[in-house]
Amino acid sequence: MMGIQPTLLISDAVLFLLLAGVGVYVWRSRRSESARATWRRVFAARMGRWSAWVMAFFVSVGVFDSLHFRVAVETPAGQAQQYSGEVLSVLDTVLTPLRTASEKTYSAPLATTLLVKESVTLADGTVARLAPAIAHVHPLGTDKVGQDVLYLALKSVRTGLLIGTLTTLVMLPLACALGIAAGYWGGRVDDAIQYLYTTLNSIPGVLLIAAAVLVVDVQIDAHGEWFNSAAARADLRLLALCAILGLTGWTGLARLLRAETLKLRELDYIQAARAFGVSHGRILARHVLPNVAHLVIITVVLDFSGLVLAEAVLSYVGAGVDPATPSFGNMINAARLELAREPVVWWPLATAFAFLFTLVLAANLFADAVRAAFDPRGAG
Amino acid sequence: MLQLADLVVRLPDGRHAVDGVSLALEAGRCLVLLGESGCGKSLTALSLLRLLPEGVTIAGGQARLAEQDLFSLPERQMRGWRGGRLAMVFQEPMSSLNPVLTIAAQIEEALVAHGSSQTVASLLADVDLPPQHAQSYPFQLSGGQRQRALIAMMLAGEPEILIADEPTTALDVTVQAQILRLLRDLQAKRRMALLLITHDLGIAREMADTVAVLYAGQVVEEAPASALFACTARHPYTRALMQVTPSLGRRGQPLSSLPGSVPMAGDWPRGCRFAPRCGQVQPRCRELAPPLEHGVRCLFPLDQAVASPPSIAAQPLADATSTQGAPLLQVEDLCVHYPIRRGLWQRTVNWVRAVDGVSLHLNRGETLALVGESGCGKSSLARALLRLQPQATVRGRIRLHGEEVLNLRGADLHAFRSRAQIVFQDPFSSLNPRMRVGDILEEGLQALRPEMGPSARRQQIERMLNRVGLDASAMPRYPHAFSGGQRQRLAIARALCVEPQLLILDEPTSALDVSVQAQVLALLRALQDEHGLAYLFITHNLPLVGYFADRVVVMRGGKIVEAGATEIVMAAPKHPYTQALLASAPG
Repeated sequence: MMGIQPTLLISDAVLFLLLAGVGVYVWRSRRSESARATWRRVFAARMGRWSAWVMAFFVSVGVFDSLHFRVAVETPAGQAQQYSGEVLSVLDTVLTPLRTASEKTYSAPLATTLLVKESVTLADGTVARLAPAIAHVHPLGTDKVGQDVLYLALKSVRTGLLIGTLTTLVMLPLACALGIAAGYWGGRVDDAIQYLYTTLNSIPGVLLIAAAVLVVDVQIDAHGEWFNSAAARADLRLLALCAILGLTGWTGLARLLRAETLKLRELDYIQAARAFGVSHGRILARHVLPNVAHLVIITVVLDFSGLVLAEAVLSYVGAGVDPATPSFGNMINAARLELAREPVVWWPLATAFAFLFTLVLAANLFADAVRAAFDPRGAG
Repeated sequence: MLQLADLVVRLPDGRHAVDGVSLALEAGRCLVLLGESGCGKSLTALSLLRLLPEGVTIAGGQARLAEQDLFSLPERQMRGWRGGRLAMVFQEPMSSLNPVLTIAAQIEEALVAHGSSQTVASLLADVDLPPQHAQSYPFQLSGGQRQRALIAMMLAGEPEILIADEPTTALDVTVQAQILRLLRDLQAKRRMALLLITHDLGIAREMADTVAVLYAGQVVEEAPASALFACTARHPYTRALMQVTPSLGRRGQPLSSLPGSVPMAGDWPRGCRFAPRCGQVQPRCRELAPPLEHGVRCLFPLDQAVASPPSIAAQPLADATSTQGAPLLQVEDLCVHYPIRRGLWQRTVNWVRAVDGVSLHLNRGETLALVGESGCGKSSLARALLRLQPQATVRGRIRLHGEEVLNLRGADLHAFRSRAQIVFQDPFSSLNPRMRVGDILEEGLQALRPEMGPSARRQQIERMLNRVGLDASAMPRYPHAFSGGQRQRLAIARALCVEPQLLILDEPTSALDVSVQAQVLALLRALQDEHGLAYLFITHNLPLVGYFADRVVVMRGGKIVEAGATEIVMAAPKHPYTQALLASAPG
């Protein structure tokens, strides 16, 4: 029996913290009757229920893919136990047949032979050109290096979810704090914040992000001793990418929130709160934030697909996630060459498209159900 | 000329918002459609133009104009009739005009559309708009000028029928009088039929040849204006409407109460729709829906001659005005100036003098009315009194209880906030839609009475809710579940929770129906008697001032032009501006 060593990547830790946060929220809202009623409304709606199931599927794929470990390798007796450099996840073990069943190169979905013909020396000594038979059946085909596309797509879910949520986690506080502050206080605060985001917006986004990613890359390359595995290294690169996307991506939402807050702060209920001497912090938390929440939800969910695509664009200029990390961006990026082939290799792109489409659509519908349930006008 | 018969308008959910309305319009005459909010008057007007909102449909009835049924015309033809034979003036002139086109361009567009031989200049002359405004953009005009421009546009097609839906609600009293006069003159000159929609009895009295009173989607009374306003309204609702309208003549008397509020569309009671609120209700009324007979929809119409006109002689109010010692609030030479900033460094290049040297005082248990038209600085003054003006420079002295309000800091400012509170005009924007009523009411207590425990706070909130005629069951609900009048009660309860001595009422009833206004006024009066509250009552409604205030201050351009006891100012105004205001008040 070979031992295993659990491995915690930084992104895993962040993901589990996030899940713990959701857990605390669920636990707290279970005790409040009104919160329970609101969430019941979310799941009572057919769209809400179905999209929640789809989201739950994607999230559990992501979570299982975040339980990382390393397998023990044969070590001579008397020495400390050595572990393999390859970091696997629980998802990998579940998908072992798909993971290990690799071919030489491209094969179409459910095909029995490879896509390309090869010169094969037959038993009678003649050389024939034919497509060699493949060892396993791949429901969605294989990619250039013969990896199963379904496996790749499932592995990409974690990357997509991480980019979507972690970037939002970085972007949201910035956008909310700066946008609402600019709208609420106005004057010089507003001037400073507007100056900041106008400047940020006037620099071409891809250029700024690519430059930042390259700087991070240099740092990572210079400090190889920080990482004990290639996975840890790729993981840090992914986190850095999320942080950079977040730091540059808050301007759109901030502008929306600023405009909405400008409108809200003149409303009588905020004036009334000020007449009660309610502190600014409390006014922002109780009167402004809940009334801009619908904007936040809509923007965040719509941005989600944009972020995954941004990752693809960045992979194109070589500034995306690590090329070894399975991601929808990398899959889409590879399609550039695959679509130019004859015969066309369409399945990796189609798979990435189908997965992304389902994920983003489910997220949108779920967010819509949540927004509707939290709108007091629908509560009766 | 236009015969509307049995109009039924259906809402998207199948309920009927207008339920069998019949009207007749005649050339050169003015029909006023009078009613409170939600009675279906605007939908009736929009049906005539077939411009109902998405999903709302005409479910029955006919509108005959020149032997043609408007409701069965093909849309192509109807488009020509809109503006050509029937035209409509809306309430809000700013949103009815395109902000990026000049007035001339917009009138020209209408002229071309109808192939009219009139010119822009002649139309502008017709509505008394100086010709140099032709090249102006809407934002460069005042509200009254915009409404004139809109009317000019509507006249481009030489309509036979002009429909005006609350055309002056967004305007100041003096401008309102001018627009109404203009409408009357145009109607006479062009022999148009005018359908005027209003909730204001004063406007109806001034404009109407015939009045149709609408209640819960039905005409409840239709009569010549002369008969109706000689105080011989025969339907109990019309009679009640007249009796709940405050005026100088009713000073000191309680307004007769019209309990409850207008029922929601489709939520109509069986039998007579007014029965639940009617003072003369009989058992049969609850069973039998009365037909419209002899111009009144009532099983037991009132006698024509019963009511005597109310005594006009103004009576002074109960002698609460006599000053006991120093006044509660004393304002001396108050200035509120807003800086106009320009350029990169936001240098102040000029000042807007919103309030410019105002002095007034207010005693315990007294109501001081602050009267003025929009932009006169009355709201700026109110906010400055409450220290809600961070952007403005406030100078002068405000003393509440002898304390210099403008110097208060920290804990003292907190203590001041529980002594002076405000109730806003619009009960829809003054309550946070995402907070429960209990939390809304608790907010002030949490901020100003941190020493109170949760149960003490709850008790106080329940006490205040009861006091304003609601109960504890309101606490877990959201504001949208309440009607306008109930929301205004909530806003009053919220302010009263912290037990203030001074309450600033910023047009507290102008967003409410007259019947609800009477209830809120009665509540305010009772609260004042109970707690000795001092009210600073900001309004533009002069009859209301005459009814409610002890003293009145008239403001214009940031300055006070006249001040004095209400009876004296209202009866014998000295300043020409006050005289103009009084002369413009409709009714």
